[in-house]
Amino acid sequence: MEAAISLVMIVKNEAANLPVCLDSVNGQVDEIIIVDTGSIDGTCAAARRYTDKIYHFAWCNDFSAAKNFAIGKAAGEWILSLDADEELISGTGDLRGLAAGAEHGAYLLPMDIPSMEGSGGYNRLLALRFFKNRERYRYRGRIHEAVHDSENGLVGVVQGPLIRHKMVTLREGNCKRGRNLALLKKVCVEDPDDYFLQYCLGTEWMALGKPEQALPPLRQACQNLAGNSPLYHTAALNQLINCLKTLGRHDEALYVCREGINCYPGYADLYYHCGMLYIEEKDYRRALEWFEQAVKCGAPPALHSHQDGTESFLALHSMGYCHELLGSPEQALQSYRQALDVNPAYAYPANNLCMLLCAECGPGHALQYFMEEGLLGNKSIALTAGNLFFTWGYPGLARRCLEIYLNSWEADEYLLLNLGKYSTFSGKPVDGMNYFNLIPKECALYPDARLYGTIALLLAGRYEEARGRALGMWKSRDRRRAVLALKLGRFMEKGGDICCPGAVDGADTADAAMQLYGECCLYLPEGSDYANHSIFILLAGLEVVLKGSSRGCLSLIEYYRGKYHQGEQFFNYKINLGQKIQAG
Amino acid sequence: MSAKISLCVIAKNEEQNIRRCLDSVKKAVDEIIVVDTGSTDDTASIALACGAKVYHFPWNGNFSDARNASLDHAGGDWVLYLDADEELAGEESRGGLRRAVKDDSVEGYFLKIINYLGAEGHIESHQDVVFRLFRNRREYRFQGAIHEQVAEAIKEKNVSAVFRLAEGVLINHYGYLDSSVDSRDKINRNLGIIAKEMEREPGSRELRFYCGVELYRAGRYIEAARELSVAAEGIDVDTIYLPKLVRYIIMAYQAAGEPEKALRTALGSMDFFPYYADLYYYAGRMYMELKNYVSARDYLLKSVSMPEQPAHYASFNGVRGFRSYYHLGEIMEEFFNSSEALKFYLASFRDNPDFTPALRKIVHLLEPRRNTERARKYLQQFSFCTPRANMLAGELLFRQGAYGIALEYFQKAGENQGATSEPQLWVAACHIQERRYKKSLRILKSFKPGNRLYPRVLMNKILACWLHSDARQVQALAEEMAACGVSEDMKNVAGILAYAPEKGNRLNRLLPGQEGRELLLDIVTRLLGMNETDRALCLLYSLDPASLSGLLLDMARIFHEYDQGVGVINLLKQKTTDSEDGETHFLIAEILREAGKCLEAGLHYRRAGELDPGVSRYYLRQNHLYRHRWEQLLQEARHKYPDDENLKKLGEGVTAH
Repeated sequence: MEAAISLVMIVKNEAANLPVCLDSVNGQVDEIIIVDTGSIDGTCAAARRYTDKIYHFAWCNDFSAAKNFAIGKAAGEWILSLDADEELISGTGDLRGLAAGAEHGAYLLPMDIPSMEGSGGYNRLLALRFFKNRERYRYRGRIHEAVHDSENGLVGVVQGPLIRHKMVTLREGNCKRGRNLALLKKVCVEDPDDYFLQYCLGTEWMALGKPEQALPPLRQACQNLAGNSPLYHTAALNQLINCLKTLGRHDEALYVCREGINCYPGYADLYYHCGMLYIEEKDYRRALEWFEQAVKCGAPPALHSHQDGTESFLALHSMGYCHELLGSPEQALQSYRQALDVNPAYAYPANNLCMLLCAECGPGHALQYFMEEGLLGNKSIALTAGNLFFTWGYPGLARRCLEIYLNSWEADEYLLLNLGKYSTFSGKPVDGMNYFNLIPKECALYPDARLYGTIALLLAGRYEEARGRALGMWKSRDRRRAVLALKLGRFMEKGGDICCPGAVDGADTADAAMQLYGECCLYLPEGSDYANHSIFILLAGLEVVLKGSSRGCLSLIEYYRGKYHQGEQFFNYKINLGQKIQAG
Repeated sequence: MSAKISLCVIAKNEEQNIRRCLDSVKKAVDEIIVVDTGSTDDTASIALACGAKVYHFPWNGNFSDARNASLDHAGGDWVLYLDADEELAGEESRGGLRRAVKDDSVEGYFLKIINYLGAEGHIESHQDVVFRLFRNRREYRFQGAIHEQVAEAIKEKNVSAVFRLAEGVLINHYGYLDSSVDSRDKINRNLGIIAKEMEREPGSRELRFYCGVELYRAGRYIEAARELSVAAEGIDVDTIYLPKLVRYIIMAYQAAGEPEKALRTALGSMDFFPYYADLYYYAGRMYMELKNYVSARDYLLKSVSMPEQPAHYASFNGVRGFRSYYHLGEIMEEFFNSSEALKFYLASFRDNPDFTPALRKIVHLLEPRRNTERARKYLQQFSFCTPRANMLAGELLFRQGAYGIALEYFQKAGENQGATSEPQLWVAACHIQERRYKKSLRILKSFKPGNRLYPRVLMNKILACWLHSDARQVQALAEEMAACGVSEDMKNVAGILAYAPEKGNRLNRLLPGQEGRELLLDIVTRLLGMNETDRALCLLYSLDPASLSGLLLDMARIFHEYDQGVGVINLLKQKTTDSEDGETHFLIAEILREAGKCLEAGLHYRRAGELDPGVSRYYLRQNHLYRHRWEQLLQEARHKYPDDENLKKLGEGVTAH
C-alpha cells in the first residue's frame, strides 16, 4: 500500500483563503489536519467542508508549538505543511510519486512569492515542507518557524510540486509585520546565536522601510551563515545588498556582491545586483557587462535564494535601458524584445520599447512595429502599449492595440473599458458605448463604464439617452458622478452656465471631473473628423465645473504643469536619443 | 635678363572664353601659344587678335598629345598652361608669376585656383591648387589621356626637382558654371576618354577618382558614389587627393539622397583628417537632414572652429564661416530661439556680405513690420553703400511688409539712377502699399512701353487702380497688358483683378503656372500687408481648386504671418480631409493657438507630430501651449481665490522658475 500523506495546517481567521488552498491539494493527500488558533471568521466552518480533523490550540506566541501540535495529530507516513495563503499548483509535480521513491526523509519544495502586483514576476524560494512523520522532524523557532532535523540528515530538493504564495497586499503585510517584529525581537534576545533569526529580523525591518535598523542584523546573518546551507546564506546576502543599496552605500554593496560571487560563482542574482548598482552609479557600460554575465549564468542551482528573471528578463530589461543610455537604440530594442520573448507577462519592457520607438520614428511606426512583430498577441503587452499610446494622446493607435481582442475570450471587463475609452476618444463614441455596454452590472468596473457610456452618448449628440443613464446613476446612489453627467449634458445641449456647485459637489466631483478632463484632452479623431466640436464644448463644461472650486483649479493647474514637464522630458529624451544615434 | 614665360593653351570652340583668358595674361607672359584642336567657331581668329601664335593639331582623343604639341612651340624659359575657361586673376597674380620664375632652385609651381560653380545669382566657389607653371625642358612632357599631368613626369626625369606653391598667383576657373555652354558635352567627352583609359589601366585609383568626379558632375550620383568609394578602398592615407576624394564621396551620397551614408563617411574620415573643416560641416548638414539638430549644431560649431585649411584640402569656401553660421541660425529657428538665430545669421552675413540668404533671414527675424524702429536701427550697422545692396535691403524689407523703411532704401538705391530705373518702380510700389495711389501713378507714368520693366509697371498700375476701386481703369490696363505680349500667367492674373473680384464668384477659375503662382503670392502678401484681407481672400477663391490646394499652404502661411490665419482656417481644414500632412496641421494649430483655441490647437499639434514625427517644432509648440495654459490658469485662479494657500505656493513656484 502507498504511504499515506497528511496535510497539516495552522490557521487563524483564514476563511477567505482556506478553500483555495484546500482545493489545491484535492486528491494529493489522504488526510487534512487543521489546527485553529482562535478564528472568529468562520474558518472552522470553511474547513469542515474538507475535513473533520479540526483541532483547537490556544495561541501562545509560538508558531512552532502550534505546528508541532498539528503534526502530532497526523496519522500519515508523510507530512505536507502548508499555510492558508499558499496553494499547491497542480500539474507541477506528484507528491505520491515523490513519497514512493523517496531517498530522503525530507524534501525542499519550490515556492513562488509574487514580487509585484500584475507584473507576473515572483521570487522563487525553497522551503522544507514535505517530510516523514518522525519525531526527528519537528518545527523550531517561535516565528519564521522552520522544520529542523535533529539528526542532521540529508535533505532532498525537487522541482515540484510547486507551492504558490498568495500576493501579499501592502496593508495585510504591514499588519502582520508589526506582530512579527515584536515577537522576533524577543526571540533574538533569547537566542542571539540563531543567525537565521537575525536574517528574519533584518528582513522585517527592510519590509517596514527601515534599512538602518536592518543593516546590523543582516550583516550578522551574512557573516555567520556562510559555510552552512546556501539557502539561508544567499537569502541573507541578497537582503544585505538590497539594504546597502537602499542606504546608498553602493561601494559596500558591490563589495558584498563580489564576496558573494567568490563564494557562489555563477549565481545570477549577484551579477544582477552588480548591474543594478552600476546603474545607480550611472556607469552603464559596466552595468551592461554584469547583466550580460547574469544572463550567461542562467538559473542558479537548487538551494539558492533566487529572484526569477535576474538571469533573463529582468537582466535583459535593464540591459535595454543601459543600451539606450549608451546611445545604442538598436541594441536596446533587441534587449527589450528578448525580455518580452522570455516572459511576455512581464510587460514593463513593452513600455520602454514603445517609448523608444515613439521617440525614434513616431507613434504610428511604433504601433506598426508592435503589430508586425506579433507583440500585441500577448494581452498584457497590448494593454501596456495601448495605455501608453492613449497617454501620449493617440487614442486611435491605442484602440488598435486592443481591437484584436474583441471577440476573444481574453477580452475581460478591464480590456473592454479601455477599448471603450480609446474608441470614444478617437472619434467613435458609438463603438465605445457598445463596449461599455458589455460590462455587466455586477462587475466592479460597472460604475466607470456607465459614466464613460454617458460621455460617449453626449459626444454622439444623444442627449436624451445620456440623461436617462445619468438618472440611473443617481438612483444607484452614484450621485456625484450623476450630477456631473447631468450638468455636462445640460451644458452641451443648451449651452449657458453650468449651475453653481450644489450640495453634492465636493472634492470627489472635482476629482472625477479632472480625470475626465484629462482623458478628453487626449481626444484625437482618426481620419478627417475634425469638425466635431462637441468634445470642445464638453471640455469647456468640465473646465467650468473645475474652476468652480479652488481644488478643481489646483488640479487643472497641476494637470497642465504635469503635461508640460512630461512633454519636456519626452522631448529631451527624443533629442538625446537622436544625438546618440551615431551613423556607425 | 629676366626669365621668359610662354603661355600654352589648347582650345576647341572656345570663342566665348578665349578672349578673357588671353587678355588676363597678356602683360604677364612673353609669348602666347594656342593650339586649336579643331574649332568650328571663331576661337582661332580671336586668339590671333589677342596676339597669340595659333597652331592646329587635330584632336586624337588624347589631352596629353595636344598639350605636348603646344609645348613643342613654346620658346620661353618657363611654361604656364591654362584652360580657355580660366583666367589669371588681377595685377597681383602677374607680379607673383614674375617673382616665381626668378627662383633658380625651383622646377615647378602649384598655383591657387578658385573654381566657380552654380548658376547666376547663386554662385559658389571653392579653392584648390593645381600644378601649372614649370621650366620649359624637352624632357618635361604631359602624360595621361585625361587629367593629363606633368608634375609626376618631371619628378620621373628629375628626382630632386623642387616644387613650390607660387605666392600671390591666383587662377579663376569658370568652367563649372551652369552657364558654361557645353559643360554637359564636355563631361560626356571626358567620361568617354576615362572609360578607354580604364580599360588600359583597370587598377588605377586615380582614373577611378576622375571617373567618379565626372559622374558626379553629370548628376549620376549613385554611380559616382560607387566609383569614388572603390577608389578610396585601401588607399594610402597620405595620398594627396584623398581629402578631395572623401569630400566627393560625401557629396555624392548626399546628392543621391543617402544622408546616413554621407554622414558615416564624414564621421569615419575624421580620424584621418581631424582638422578637415568640410568633414564637420557635412556631418552637421547630414545631421540636419536627419533632423538630429543637437548633433548638427555640435558639428557645425566644430566646423567654424577649425584652423586655416591646407590648400590641398580644397576646402569648400564658407564652411568655416558663413555657411556654417547660416545653418546654425536655421537650427536655432527650429527651436524657436530667434535671438540666437539672429546672432548666427549676423555672423554669417558679416563673414560674407554677398551671401544674401543670411540677410534675408536677418530681415525676417527683425520683424520690421511690427518693430520698425528696432529694424531700422539694427540695419544701420551694415553699410549698404552700393545701389545693388540698397535695392536688396529694400526688397527684403518690402517682402516683410515694412514699406516705410523699404521706401528709404529704394530711394537711396534710386539716387542718380533716372526716373525709369528699377528702384523707382519699387518706390512706386511702396507708395501703393501706403495708399498714396496718385503719387505712385505719377511715378509709374514715366515708364514707357518697351521698357523692360513695363509689364511690372502695368501690374502695379492695375493694383493701384484696383485698390482705388477704379474698375474701368483696371479693365483698360488689363487690356493693355494683354496686348503688350506678356506671359499667359500675367495676363490671367491681370484679368482676375479686372473682372472677377467678388468673393464666391466661381466663374473662370484660374489655373496659374509657376510664374502666375509667384505673382499671386506676391499680390496676396501685399494685400495683407495693407490689411486688405477680403481682397486677398477673393483672389484665393478665384483659383481653381486644384491650383488652390497646391498653393494653399504657402498662401495660408502668409495669412498667418499677417495675423489673418482665421480667414483661411476652413480651407486648411478642408485640405486635411483629402490628404493630411504635418505642416498643414501645424499651421492650423498655430492659427488656433493665436485665436485662443488652445484645446483644439493641441489636437492638431498632436496630429502633426503623428504624421511627421521627426519635426521638433511640433512638440515644442505643443509644450509651449501647455506651459501657457498652466500659467494662465494659475493667474486666473489666484485672482479668483486670493486666499488659497496651495495656489499661493504654486504661484511662488512659477515666479522662481
